Amino acid sequence: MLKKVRINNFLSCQDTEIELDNITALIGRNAAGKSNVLKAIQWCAQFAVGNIPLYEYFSPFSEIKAECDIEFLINDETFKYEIRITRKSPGLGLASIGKKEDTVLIEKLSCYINDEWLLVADREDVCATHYNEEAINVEINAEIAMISSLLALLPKKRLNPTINKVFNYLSEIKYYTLESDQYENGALGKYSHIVLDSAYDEWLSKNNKSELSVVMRLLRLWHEDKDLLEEIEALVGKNGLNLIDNIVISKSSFGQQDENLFYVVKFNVADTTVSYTQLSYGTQRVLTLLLALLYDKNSTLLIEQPEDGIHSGLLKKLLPLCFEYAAVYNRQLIIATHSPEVINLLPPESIRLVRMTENGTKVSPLDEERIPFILNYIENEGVLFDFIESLDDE
Amino acid sequence: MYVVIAEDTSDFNCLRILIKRLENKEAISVEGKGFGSCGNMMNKGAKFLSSYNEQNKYRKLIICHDRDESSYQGIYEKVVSKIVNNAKIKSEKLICILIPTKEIEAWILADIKAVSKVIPSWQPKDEYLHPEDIKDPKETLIRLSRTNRPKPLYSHNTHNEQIMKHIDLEMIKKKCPSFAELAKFVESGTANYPKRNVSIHFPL
Repeated sequence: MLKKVRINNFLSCQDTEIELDNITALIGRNAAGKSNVLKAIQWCAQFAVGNIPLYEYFSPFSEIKAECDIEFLINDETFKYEIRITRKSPGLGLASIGKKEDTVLIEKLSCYINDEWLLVADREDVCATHYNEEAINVEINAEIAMISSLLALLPKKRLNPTINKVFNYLSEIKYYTLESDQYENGALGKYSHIVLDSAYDEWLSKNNKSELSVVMRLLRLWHEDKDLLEEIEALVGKNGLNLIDNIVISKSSFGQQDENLFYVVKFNVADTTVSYTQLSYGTQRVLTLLLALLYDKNSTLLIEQPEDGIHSGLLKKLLPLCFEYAAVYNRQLIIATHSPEVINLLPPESIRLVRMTENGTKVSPLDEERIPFILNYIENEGVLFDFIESLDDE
Repeated sequence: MYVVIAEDTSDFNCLRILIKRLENKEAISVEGKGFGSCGNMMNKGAKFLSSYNEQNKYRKLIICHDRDESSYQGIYEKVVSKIVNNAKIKSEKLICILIPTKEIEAWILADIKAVSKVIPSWQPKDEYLHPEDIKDPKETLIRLSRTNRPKPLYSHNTHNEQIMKHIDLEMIKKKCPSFAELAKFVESGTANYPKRNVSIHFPL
């Protein structure tokens, strides 16, 4: 579980700190920097495990130094991963960006033991040091993250087991906009209920990268985990959220040849049968959210405005359901939201107010001393959103 | 037609289903809303109900407020002073101030086996003879579901109203005095305002 994040010079987060709970809601007006906080966490974690390039989101114009530290809990151990990018010659503009000779990359991975931070590994530029029974120095690529480099370069028996544990945890921090991916938006056009066997195989071969296709994930469940497919069907079905009666998946072929195999993925909704792209925008987002929680099995989900396109009555069912799943399956949810409905479903302790100041994005919890007053307000006066709306957010 | 107001949307949706079942008329109109919190209902309930005064559309009004840790009489009087009096409801309307002893989830505990009709993998074994004596019925259901890990997981906002379609109304009437009061109001028009029906025993 992510406990604390500190961000410097990353988009609008010039000097931003945030403490996180099992469920945390980032609340603030547009352009306050809510999404930038989520993107910074995603960037830091995914860069650390080698899933995205160093320069994604890193502005070439003004930053001399960008930093992000994340503190996290794996079982009962607390770790900290720090990344610092310093440009040697700021002001050279676009031409120098991405050039390793212009950048010094510093990374540290530490573990909190007996009231102090002990280094597990660190790197400066191309030199990494790994601490286990002895310190081992390794030369690594200037633009590739330390953790993934050490995993690739060091023999398993010399590797501190912590590295693997941290790699697995950070890999499971994922940012969700809940939008349909490219595959579902266009590749299949009006025949989006048909998936060629070859397309499915191709998707499978690059799974766990960035292709979050709902149709493909349902198809994979149909092949490999019918119980979970039934559970998702029950969640969206008549006894659940009442959005889709059935999910119907079948396999067929255009002829006798194996290479002409295809799958049909259809949804029965109120006596009609539709393809995924014909489902309403909100229903598509609900399916995406449920698959994020149940299929992806990530430890930390960074979710962008889950309320978009979803009726307030449905939202009041969907979000508590997600919170139940998150609690039972030990998933952390960090949500950026504008929705009064979402806010009113949350305990005041989970709220983080995000403000844009002259020093960039600032994040703060509700004043601890105010919590009893807020609870009393909810009991006797109104809803949490009314209270938050009354705060001075300048 | 009925107008129902409740603390949250889930409670309102459950009451709508139960009223239709008790009336044995799916087509009967049940309007109203859940307010998202107790405080919100207390402050906005009267204004909401006032909007119905000119419409003359409904005959029966139900105001549902959990008793939680308070006394029955305390909640009853609070509802009267903050909602009923301020809404200036016409005298010909029948009013039921419905106060579930803890929460309406106690009604589900009364016929816990009904959950299997909605979540077949959840097959509860225990029976609750006095569900309204249970301190926290909602938490009890959540705890039971977590022990059983049914698929899908139980979530009261999603599943309560589905379960209400299946619970045995006669069994709940016997086990839950607060539900019996609702049933009496719906089935025979016995209002508990201006004077609460004293024939039903509630600990005050």
